[in-house]
Amino acid sequence: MRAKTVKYKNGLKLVLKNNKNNFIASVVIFVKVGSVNEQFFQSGLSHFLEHLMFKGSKNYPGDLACKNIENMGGYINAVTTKEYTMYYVNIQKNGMKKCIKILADIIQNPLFSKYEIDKERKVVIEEIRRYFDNPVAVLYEKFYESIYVKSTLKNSVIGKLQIIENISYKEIYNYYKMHYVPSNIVLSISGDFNELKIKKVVDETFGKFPKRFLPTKPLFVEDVHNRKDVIDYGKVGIGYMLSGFLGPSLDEEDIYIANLAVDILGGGKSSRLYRSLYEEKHLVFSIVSFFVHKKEAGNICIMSVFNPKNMMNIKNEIKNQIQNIIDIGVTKKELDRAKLSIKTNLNFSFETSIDVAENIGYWHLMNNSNFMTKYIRKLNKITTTDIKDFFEKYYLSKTISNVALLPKTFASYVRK
Amino acid sequence: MENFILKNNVKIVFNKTSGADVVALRVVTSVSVVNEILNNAGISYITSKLMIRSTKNRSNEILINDIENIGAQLYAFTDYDISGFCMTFTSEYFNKAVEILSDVVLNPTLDDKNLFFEKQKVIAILKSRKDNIGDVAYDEFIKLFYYKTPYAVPVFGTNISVKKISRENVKHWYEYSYNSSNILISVSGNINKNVVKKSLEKYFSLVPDGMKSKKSAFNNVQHYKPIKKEIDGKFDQSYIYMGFQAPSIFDLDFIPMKIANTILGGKMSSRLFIELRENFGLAYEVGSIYPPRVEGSYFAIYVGLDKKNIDLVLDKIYEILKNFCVTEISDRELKDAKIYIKSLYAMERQTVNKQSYYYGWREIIGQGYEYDTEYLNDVNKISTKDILNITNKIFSKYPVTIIINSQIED
Repeated sequence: MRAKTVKYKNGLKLVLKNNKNNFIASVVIFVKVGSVNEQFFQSGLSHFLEHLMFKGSKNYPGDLACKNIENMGGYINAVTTKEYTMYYVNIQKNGMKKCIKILADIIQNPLFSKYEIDKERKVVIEEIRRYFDNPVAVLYEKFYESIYVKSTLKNSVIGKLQIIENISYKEIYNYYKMHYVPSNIVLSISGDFNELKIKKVVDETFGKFPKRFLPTKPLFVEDVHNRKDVIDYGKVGIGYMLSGFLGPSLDEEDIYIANLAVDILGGGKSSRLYRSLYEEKHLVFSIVSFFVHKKEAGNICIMSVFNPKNMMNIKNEIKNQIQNIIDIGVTKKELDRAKLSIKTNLNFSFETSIDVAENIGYWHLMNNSNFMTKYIRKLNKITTTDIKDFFEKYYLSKTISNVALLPKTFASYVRK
Repeated sequence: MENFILKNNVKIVFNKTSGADVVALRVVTSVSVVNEILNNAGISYITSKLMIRSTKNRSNEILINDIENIGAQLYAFTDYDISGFCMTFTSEYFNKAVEILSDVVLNPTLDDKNLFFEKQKVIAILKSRKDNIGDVAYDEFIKLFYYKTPYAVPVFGTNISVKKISRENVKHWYEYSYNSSNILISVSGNINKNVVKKSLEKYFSLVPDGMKSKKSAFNNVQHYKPIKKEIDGKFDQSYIYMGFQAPSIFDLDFIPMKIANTILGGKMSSRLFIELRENFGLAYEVGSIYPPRVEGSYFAIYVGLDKKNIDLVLDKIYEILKNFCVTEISDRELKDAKIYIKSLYAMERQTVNKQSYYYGWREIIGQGYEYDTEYLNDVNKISTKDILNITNKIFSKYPVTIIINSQIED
């Protein structure tokens, strides 16, 4: 997937991917700031900041930015993750230029009025309550706290209610100034457009952001550590569990094997985990495994939903299935099937402009802009031995953590 | 877009795309939840799930391997008005995909062992819906709003109805749903028309004839007084779900109401969003929904909020609705809403999967697949007066309101 890239003097990266077939264009801004950048007393600040960016800018006070974009038929939203914050607009192609100008003003000239901050606090507090009412969200919080010990990847994105209630204007503003720096931003655009004209708009807006110093974030390499088993009894009707262990970081060569290995383990309906736990033993109502890319250390994650009385058997069977791959290996047929599945999914992922812009932008943000090209090339060369070696390298029975959420009524049953 | 008819009268809707070499192949049946009765609620969902587990020619393992050996994905879907399957894959595997999907449609085993497990799964899904505040509110709302009609329960059915479903019931429902009188096939993708025609004729012209789906005896629900139910939730948040009777998709008032929904709660610059979230910070999740339904639909407002703000938010909602019925919207507001609807329409149709869904759905419910593009012309014709008329009709009726109270004490 070739894209044109421009690096501005202020450090900002622009990625342009032309797609003449699509009437809809997407403009995506990645800012490399998320919960990994937060200190304990800032928990949730990146996410709160994302909300505040929509609360008025120099040329678009109040809700004018959103209103202008929606009035051109655009859909605007944002998402905060552990490693980055992403702002995006999907819009019919004629609205692109104005949309870029609006987004540039939002990012460069936010007003942060005290009145708006205090109003938005209440909104984010409601979002936090809503988040912790969701059992799967709670599960992910605890999973990341278990699997990462040293790395700030364990930090919660949604954050702490008490911190959002009290965080000051000064703290918010300083955090913004520190991280919303051009060299920390990737602007990714996909759609049917005239490259020269779009670049000119970006030159005049994002390209003119003043250059600012970006402090380097210390990299905490996560050491392999013993597993944690966490069981929470709560207000749920069935059992939910996340099991997992550490995998390669984005800079390691094993990153190219990870998706394939995890797909064979539990990606599709022909995968090892699905066949064994769902089809043959009927231990789960659903099970899936996926590899989560992270700069410092990714993780292999297995999500299952089940009748709580099956939990112990599920944990054992997951271990058995991984051990079986290490002991016996996988077949050529399994490998080929997983390769084809990944290639097919890639084909489908080029259908929408937002998927294209997000994919290309993400890999530029992670300083691995050739990832997709290399990935497709390397995928063909991966062997059954590579898969076996992958699990041998990253899996140890004593390092697989399990975080489960069970109905309160099962507390005595499990203790027995 | 075009259509053709197989020997057995099964209609094919075909949309040739020019982008990536990907295809969505969809079999749609007009037999779904809308045809169920409370006693067999959930049978459409269970039947479609069972059909993709194994066939008389393929064990579960062989079926799954055959699908994934061509990099395809197959899933069953059940909406209130339609049901069916969708298979997605790259163009080169079209013939094989058609052969596999035809085997699923023609020869499912529907065995007892799998039925038992699928029923357990549905009961687990129903339990897990109680873990989500939005689902709890919605399930309670439809129960009171659609009192004893097929729309009154989730598409999965109820604990009681699902337990009663037997293999014989499923077999009968399968024969009723997937015969040539009730199915159509919708294909969207970068694939040659002749390949599509030849392959579908070869495999799907074998679908037998059967009983045509009967329109259910769906008495339009009337509420003669406001209904309000408060529930003590197990959540930290409180929730409001308030709905009014609204026109079905065939009603002339459908599009004016669709536009009204966009202006009231369908976007970030909508009236409800601006007033409740932006101006007063009373909620994070706030919006409105107006689903297209063959039988009567509803317009609903949903808000997740702090318990202490429930009365204030209800007052504000009533005020917004009242103003909407008194003062005609401006031409500018109407124009903006139309642009937003058109743009969202295009965004929703970027993938072959969604295209095959919309064209198939329009055709099988009786609007015709061509209407999917004509729809935007009809949106253009709506005036501010049309909006005022429909909202006065809708909001003069009594709403059904569900309030879920937070477990946190004031």
